[in-house]
Amino acid sequence: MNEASEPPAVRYRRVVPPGRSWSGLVARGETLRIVDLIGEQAVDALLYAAADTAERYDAQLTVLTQASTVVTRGTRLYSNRGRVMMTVAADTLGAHDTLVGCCSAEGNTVRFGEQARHLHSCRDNFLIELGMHGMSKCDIVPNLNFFMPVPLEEDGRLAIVGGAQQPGHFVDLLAAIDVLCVLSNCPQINNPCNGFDPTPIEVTITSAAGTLAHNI
Amino acid sequence: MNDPAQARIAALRARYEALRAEGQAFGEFDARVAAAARIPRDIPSASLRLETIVPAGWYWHGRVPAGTCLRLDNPRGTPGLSCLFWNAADPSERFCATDTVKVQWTAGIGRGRLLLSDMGRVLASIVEDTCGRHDLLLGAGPPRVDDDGTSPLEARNGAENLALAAAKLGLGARDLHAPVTFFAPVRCGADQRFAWASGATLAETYLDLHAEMDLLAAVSNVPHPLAPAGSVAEDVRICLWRPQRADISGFCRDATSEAGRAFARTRAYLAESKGGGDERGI
Repeated sequence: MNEASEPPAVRYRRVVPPGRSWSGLVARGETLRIVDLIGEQAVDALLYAAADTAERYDAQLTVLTQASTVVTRGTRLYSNRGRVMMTVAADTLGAHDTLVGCCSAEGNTVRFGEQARHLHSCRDNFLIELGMHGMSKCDIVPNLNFFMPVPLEEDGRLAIVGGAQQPGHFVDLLAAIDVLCVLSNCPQINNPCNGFDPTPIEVTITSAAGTLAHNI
Repeated sequence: MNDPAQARIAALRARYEALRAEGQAFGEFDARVAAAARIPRDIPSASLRLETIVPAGWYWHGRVPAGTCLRLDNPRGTPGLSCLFWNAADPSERFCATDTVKVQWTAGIGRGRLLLSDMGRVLASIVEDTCGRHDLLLGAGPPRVDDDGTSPLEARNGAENLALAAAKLGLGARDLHAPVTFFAPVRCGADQRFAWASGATLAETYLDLHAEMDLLAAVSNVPHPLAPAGSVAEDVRICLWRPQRADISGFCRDATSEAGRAFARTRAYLAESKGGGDERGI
């Protein structure tokens, strides 16, 4: 399914190994595609306005505006200043999370016990990646979790359930402004978000012209 | 199961499922919490340290010392009171709505539950809650955008309130994180859509948050963004009071394994902060 819908004019392509991080600038009109190459692999994502990184992804406003927990095709990803940063332009999976944030050594230790303390985490990935852009811990906000469904039940209970096991699921994020995208290819092995076995993902950025030809 | 990788995966999966079953045994949690003594509405005057009104539409900022309870009293049923908390000794440590719901396996945060920081520690325990309807997922409402300056001055904004309160604690825009909104009966249906539960009782309800470390607090009294059209804020009473009862949040600590671990980490951190740390766990 990947080949058939591959948009033209890919200007950037990179495989992110299991557990590693990535960041890049996606210009207004460009599309970031994240591909779950093997299957059942969560990808944690943060977004910042390239012009001023104090403007950043706002998960609560995103969920509030659509009054739904489900991030999928058509979801507008809002900033803390009420601007649309990106739109989910394509989605082969149908449900992504933005309620439960990223894993961290600290949170893992509380959730899973002492044996989870010295394991790599998405927060550590974010800290390393944000550091390259002059940012720090206070810049980490509730993030997106692609390919990681977290159903919220009517009594409030929620839990991470495994994603789709088939290879090749992808999301396309169309940038409405110039966006710094920061990704963590989640290293978590204590819950089902990566099938307890992290795998690689692929990131592509498609130029504005290619995006427009493809999506409109 | 001869493949070692498959065996490892199976063992991790089994452990996760066991933790999930334990963490979502809400009946057992409810029973443990129900056994703890309730906190009456009247606070003995000898215990009271501060009492103030947050007028409808306005904000409050303050310090909540460790061992003190922050009383949020909602006599007239304001539909939503958004709050942010930070570790006063190091405000880079702050309330983490996402870990609070994830670690406790529920978005239904009320009496007996914890407000957790991004560092896997307990900021505050919810030692009393007669409302039971709070929201950690939807925030304080949209920021003002494209305002041409003609909106009425009295039309106040939750995001601005929290920014103002934080500013007066010396904090900046990057310190503003996802808030918890108390007194906000938001329901999520099986279709994953959110709606306001209009039948919920808000008036005459109150919460007590027991600070487990010295805290900075910001509070905004603006209607929740999903409150029905025409909803108006009502004055809220805030008190700081020091409980006479020892270990008032012990029942929160003992209610779940996760809470026990979060408290242990907090205790170790505070011991080390005082230079007397002999416990691992930072």
